[in-house]
Amino acid sequence: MKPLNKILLATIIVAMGGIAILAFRDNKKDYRAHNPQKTLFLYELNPSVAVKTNNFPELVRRFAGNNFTELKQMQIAGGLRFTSNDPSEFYEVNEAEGHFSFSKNLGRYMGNYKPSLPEPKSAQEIAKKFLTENKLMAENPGEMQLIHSGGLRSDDENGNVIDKMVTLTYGRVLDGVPVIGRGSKIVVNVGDKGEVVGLTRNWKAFSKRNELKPSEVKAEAEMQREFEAQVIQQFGKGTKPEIKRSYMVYFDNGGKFLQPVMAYETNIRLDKAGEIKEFPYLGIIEAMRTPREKLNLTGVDAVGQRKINGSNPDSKTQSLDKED
Amino acid sequence: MKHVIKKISMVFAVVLLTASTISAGFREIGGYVDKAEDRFVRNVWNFIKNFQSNQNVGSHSWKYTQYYWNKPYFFSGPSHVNYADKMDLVYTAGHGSGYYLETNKSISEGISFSSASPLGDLATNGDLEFLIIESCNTVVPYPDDNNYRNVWKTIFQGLHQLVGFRTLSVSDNGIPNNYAGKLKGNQGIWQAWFDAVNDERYWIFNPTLSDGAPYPGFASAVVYTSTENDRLGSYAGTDPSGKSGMKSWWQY
Repeated sequence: MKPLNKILLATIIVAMGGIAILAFRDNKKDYRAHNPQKTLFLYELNPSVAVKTNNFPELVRRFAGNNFTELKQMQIAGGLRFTSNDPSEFYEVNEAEGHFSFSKNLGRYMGNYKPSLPEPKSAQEIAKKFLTENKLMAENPGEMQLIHSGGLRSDDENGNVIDKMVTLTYGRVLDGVPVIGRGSKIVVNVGDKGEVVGLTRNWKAFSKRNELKPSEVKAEAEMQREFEAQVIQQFGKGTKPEIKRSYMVYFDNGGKFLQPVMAYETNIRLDKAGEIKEFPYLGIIEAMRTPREKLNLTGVDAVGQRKINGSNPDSKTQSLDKED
Repeated sequence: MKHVIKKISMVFAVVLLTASTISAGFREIGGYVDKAEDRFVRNVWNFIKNFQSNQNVGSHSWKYTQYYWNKPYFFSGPSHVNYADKMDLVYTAGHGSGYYLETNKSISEGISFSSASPLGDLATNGDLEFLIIESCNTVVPYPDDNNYRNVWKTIFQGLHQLVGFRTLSVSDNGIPNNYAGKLKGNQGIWQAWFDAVNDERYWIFNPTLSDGAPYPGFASAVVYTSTENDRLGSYAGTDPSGKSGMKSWWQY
C-alpha cells in the first residue's frame, strides 16, 4: 500500500470512529442537554393559597368599593363568583386550584372612551405595587418573570385605534426553567390613570422539592419517539413534524405538583392542495417515567367522541339529545 | 257557559304564557367540529359539555342542541337556516386563515366567510347572535385589514358578535371550558373570551409562535357599539346589520 493510501485509510477510519462516538453519545443524550440547571425536581405545591374562600369576600369588598352591595354571589365549580349588572365585572375564587381573578366595572371603557394609560414600564411598577399591597405577590417574587407586556385595543368608525388597557403577564421560572400550563401565572390589567382594573392569579407556592434521579426521567430519544407517535396519532400516518425547538420545562396543571415535561415547538406541513398548508403544534410529553399526576393532555373525552361519531348532520331529524 | 269560557280563558292564558317563555327564554347552542385532529373534538366538546342540560343565565336558558362535524352548508346556502342560523350561539373549532375556517382536512373543505350566507335575525329565517371560532387567524379585526367591515358585513345580518383569534392560535388547552364557565357566570361574550385566552398565556419559546404572538395567540372580536355589552343573560334587543356601528377589539 502506498503511503498516501495509508494516510487516506487512516483518515477514513478515524472519521468513522468519530461519527460512531458522536452517534453513541447522541443516543445516550438525556434531558440534561435541554435543561440549563442540569437537575430536575418534582415540586410539591402548598395547598394553602393567598386567596381562600373565607378571605375572598373581604378582597371583593376592597376592589368593588361601592358596587359591592349590588353584586350577586353564585356557586361555581370548585369555588365562588360574584357578578354584577355590568358584563365585564366579576370576582372569582377557586381555592383548590389557587385561582383568584377579578375585573372591575369597565362600562366606561366601551365605545370611543380613551383612557389615560401609563407607559408599559410605569404599568409594571404599578402592578408590582398593587400585588404587594394586597398580598397577592408570588410568595417567592424571584420566581415571577414578566413574559408579555401587551394590552387591549379597539378601533372607532373613523379608523382611529384606541388603547384601552395595558396587560402584563407574569410567568414562573424555577432555577432557569420556565413553568407552563394554566397555573403559575399572574395577569394584571392596568387602565385609566394607572388603576388596576383586572387580575388573574393562578399561583401556589411550593412546599418542598425532590430531586429526580436520572433513572426516573425518560431519555431524550425516548421522549422524541413518544412525541412522533403522538403526531401520527393526532395527524395520521406519514405526518412528519418539523421540530423547531424543544425544551425541558415544568407543567402546572392547577393540581398538587409541578412536574417536568418536554415541550416540542413544531410546524406540521400538509402535502396537499387547499387553503391550510401548515400550522403550529405544541407537543408536550411527560418526562417522568411515573408521573405523579397524569396530565392526560391528548385524551379524548369518551362521551364527546362517541356523540360526534354517532351524529349525522345530513339527517335533519336526528337529534343528539335523543341519542342518550 | 261561564264555566266553559273560564276554561277556554285559562287554556289560552297557559298557551300565551308558554309561548312567551319559549320566545324569551330558551336559547340553542351548536357545536361544530373540523374533521381533522381529535383536538378539535376536545375543543368543541369541552365548551358544549357545560350546556348538556338547560343552564339558566339571567333571563335565558341555554342548552346545546346540535353537535356535528362541521360542513360548509351549515353557514352557506339554503340549509344554513337548519344549522348555524337555527342556533343562538355557535362554538366551532378547526384550522383557519383570514376569513376562512376548515371543515374537513382530508378533502380540503371549508367555509369562506366573505361569501357565506347572512346570519342573524334580520336574514330570512335566521337566528344566530353569537359566533365563536377557535382557529388560527379567522377573525380579522381592524389592524390586520382596515377593510374588515366590508368583508364581515356579508354575514352580519342580526349577528351580534363574532369572536376568535387574529393570529396563529394553539388550541387543546383550558380555553373552551374556562370560557363556558365565564359565560355561565354571565360575563360579556367577547370580554370572557379575551380573559380565557389571557388565562392560558405562558412563556416557553420567545416568541412562541412564528407570527410573533405569544402562546396561545391573540384574541379578536367583531361587534357593534350597540352589542358590545351582550352576555348570555341579556343582550341587545335591536339587531344590528351591515357596517354601521361595527367595530373590532383585539389583543396585542
